[in-house]
Amino acid sequence: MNRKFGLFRLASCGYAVPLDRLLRVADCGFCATLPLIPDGMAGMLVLDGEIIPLLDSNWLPGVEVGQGLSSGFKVLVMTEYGPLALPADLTVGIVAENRCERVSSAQEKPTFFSDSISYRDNCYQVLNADLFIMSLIRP
Amino acid sequence: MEAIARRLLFRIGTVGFCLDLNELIEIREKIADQIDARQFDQQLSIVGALSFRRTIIPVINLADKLGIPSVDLDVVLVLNSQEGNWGLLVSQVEGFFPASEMIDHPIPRLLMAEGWRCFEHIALYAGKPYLRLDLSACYAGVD
Repeated sequence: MNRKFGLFRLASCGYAVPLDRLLRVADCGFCATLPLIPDGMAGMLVLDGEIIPLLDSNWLPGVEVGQGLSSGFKVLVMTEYGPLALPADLTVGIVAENRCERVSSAQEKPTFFSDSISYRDNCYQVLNADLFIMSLIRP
Repeated sequence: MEAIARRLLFRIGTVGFCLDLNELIEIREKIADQIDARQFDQQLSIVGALSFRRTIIPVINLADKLGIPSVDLDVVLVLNSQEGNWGLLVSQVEGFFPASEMIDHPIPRLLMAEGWRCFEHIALYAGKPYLRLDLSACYAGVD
């Protein structure tokens, strides 16, 4: 079966989320910080009457800390702990796996970003949502 | 005729909080020079004592304990508890609003850090979040 990915960028780095985990991309909603949250979380996104945890950018390889709240877009992915919002500067679109090339990288990366794909000469690191959430819950 | 249940909305720094009106006794504004700082106890987050209706009550600053950056705190909410009255330093009171117009949500698991916490729910009012303060945890937890 040909998988599909949602592609987005933050601070000149590219990321891909499998389409079966992608809920939506939001360019609205109210972002706020929250005291006593775990390291790596930026706060929350209030969207359509729901509270969605918002990831800080330091979990995304190659991106500096502190860009979670200020990013223009939020990419919502489904996890076993409910929806999670990822910060994004730019959304690229949905692309089928057979339109991309697998990229191997010698660079050491977190296990939840072990795969990379190339689409139109840009590299995107593929998020494994299950491994990612395990890293958040049990760092 | 039944009274409409209301909540007080207020801010510590930029963070919004709410509490039930029956937990509030009085709001005292511009109290910076009324707090006796000789009663300061950093371990208990007590910034001083305030004279209130012929008694002396402790005034607690939660901003440091909650990790909220240095903020302008010049309002005291006088609150009741089983141990007696006490004051909570806040930045700004937004007002009293009907509880029926607020929707409470549990804090998502991904936003729950280990350790002490003085709120378990977030109330949404007009699309904005307000943490529901658990006063017993606030007062008992300042250790």
